[in-house]
Amino acid sequence: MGYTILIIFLPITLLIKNLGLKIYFWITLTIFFGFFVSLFYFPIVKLIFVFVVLLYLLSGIACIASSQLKQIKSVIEHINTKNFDHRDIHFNSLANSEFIEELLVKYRELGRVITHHNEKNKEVEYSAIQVIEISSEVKNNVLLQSDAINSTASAVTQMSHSLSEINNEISKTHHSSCLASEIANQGRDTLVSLSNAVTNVNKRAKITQQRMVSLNELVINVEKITESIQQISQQINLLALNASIEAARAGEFGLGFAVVAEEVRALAKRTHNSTDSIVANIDDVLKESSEIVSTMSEVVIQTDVCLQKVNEVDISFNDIEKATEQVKHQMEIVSNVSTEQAAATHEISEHIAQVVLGAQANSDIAVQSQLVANHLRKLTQRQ
Amino acid sequence: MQWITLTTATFCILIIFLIKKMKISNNKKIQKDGLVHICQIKRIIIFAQQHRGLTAAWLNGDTNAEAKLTGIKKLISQEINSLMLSPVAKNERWAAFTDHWGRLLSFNNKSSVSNSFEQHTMMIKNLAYLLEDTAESSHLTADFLPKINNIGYVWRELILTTENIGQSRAIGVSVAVQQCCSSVDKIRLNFLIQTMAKTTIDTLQRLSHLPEEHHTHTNLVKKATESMNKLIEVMTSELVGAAKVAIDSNQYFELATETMSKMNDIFDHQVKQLNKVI
Repeated sequence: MGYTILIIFLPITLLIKNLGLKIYFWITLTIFFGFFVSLFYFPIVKLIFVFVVLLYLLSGIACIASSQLKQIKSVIEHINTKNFDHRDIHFNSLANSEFIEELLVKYRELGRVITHHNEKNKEVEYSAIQVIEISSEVKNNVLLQSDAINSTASAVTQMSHSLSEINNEISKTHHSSCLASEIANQGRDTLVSLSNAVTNVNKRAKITQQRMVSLNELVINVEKITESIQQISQQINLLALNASIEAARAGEFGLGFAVVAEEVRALAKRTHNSTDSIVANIDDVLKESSEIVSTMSEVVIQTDVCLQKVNEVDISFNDIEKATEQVKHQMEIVSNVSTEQAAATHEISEHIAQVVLGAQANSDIAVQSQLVANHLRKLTQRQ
Repeated sequence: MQWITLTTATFCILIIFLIKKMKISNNKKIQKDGLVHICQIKRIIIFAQQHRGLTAAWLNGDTNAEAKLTGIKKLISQEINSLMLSPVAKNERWAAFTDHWGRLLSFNNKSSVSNSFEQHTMMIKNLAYLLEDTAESSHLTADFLPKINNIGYVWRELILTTENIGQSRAIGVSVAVQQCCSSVDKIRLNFLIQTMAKTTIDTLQRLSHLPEEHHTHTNLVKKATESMNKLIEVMTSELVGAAKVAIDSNQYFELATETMSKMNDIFDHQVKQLNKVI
């Protein structure tokens, strides 16, 4: 019977071993051994052996449990905490293999999570480096902008001084302009007076001209009368000559010459009258001439006045010229100051352009920073 | 009596032997099926990566991409249908993928370029983890494959490295088209460069291979390393470090695609070796 049990239990035990249930193998083997031994002894001995078997069983279980715990401890101690790679873990377990398998699956998932986090950490590290580089660029841009702003401030101060100078020069220019205006007004008044005087001279000249025409007519008349007198004088002269000749030939008969003498007297009278008329005309001519002289004197006087006025105008214009020169000089100064101001303005413009470029660069960097920040946010949000 | 005992003992030993044999056979079947599923998931990942790039192009106004997108969607649908009844579908990551894919399709035309990229990337990462889960549940691990003891690197690091190259391709092409590399793009590209450089040093050198495949494996790793180094150099000098991005987007796309292809060649070679071992 004992052999039969031994022969039956042995293959069953081996079968259990092959199935991987090692712990049952040991238990079965122990029970079988105890039972086999107890068959050959008395009940008391059988009981002792049963206790021995149980003790053996318990100690076997304790040893197995201890061994398994040691193995688990060893595995845990040798876990690579850097990567948690489940492929490095190898259990030689007597316990349920499903349990170990599940443990390994969980460990594998844990390892994947850690790998995932490590990768994300690396990405975050790169992102942080990128952010640092971007911050450095921003810092450089800000420093450049600061320098540009300082330069701009200096240029503005310089420009302020220039503007003060310009202000002074403009005040002087204004004063000179007022003076020039006043002088110009005086010149204008003088020119008005001169215009009036010239107008007056013109009128006088016209009157003189008319009088000269009248005088000319009178002279023509005198000339005619003179011609007439000359003719009469010639006739008288001829008659006188004839009377002389006849008186000399006729003697007594020269009485007839009394008639001639009467004619001569008549002619003489007419001559006398013409002569009177000539005298009278000549008087008129003299009178007219006198008036002309008088008028011309007034013209001369007016001309003198005009000359005087012209001199005054000349002086005024000289003054205007001087004032204009002064204005010109001051305007040159203003021009130079303006040139300096333009240069300062140009410098300010350049600095402002630099500031604008810096601002644009900062704007681009800000966009990049935003992208990086979003990327970091996504990295931290991902599973 | 002794006859009965002996017969029973023999019968039990036979059962034990058969169970052991069945267990080995079952394990190989699980591994082979798992390998098939892994290849299918890998194809979905490749299609999803292509879908990501084409969607970005389509959202940027490239109407030619629409027809290609339709083709890719069909291919992905076919792969999904073929995996729907497999053990892979029991994984919660599969449910997450199908749900994500459905939402991605419905919101595709309403999404922004960056959001589409992020959604695709998350989905591909989930698929990569699903591939690793499938490999482990299919006993395609170092514990079961002592001849290819670093097979775990194929299911995780190699897949994620290829995905990193895919991400660098998507971001790099966008940067090359816009001829401007923003801070965020620089951060992402720098991170990818570092990861890819680390992979070149670590993962590729640690991949296991069978003795008879030594020459092919070394050759593939060498080509992939060269291509990866070239891509990293171009990314550093032409995209991240350049004051003005001048590289042609097609040229960069070709370079990145070639590197991804080299990585996929290594993956295919590893699968081929597994088929030999199983």
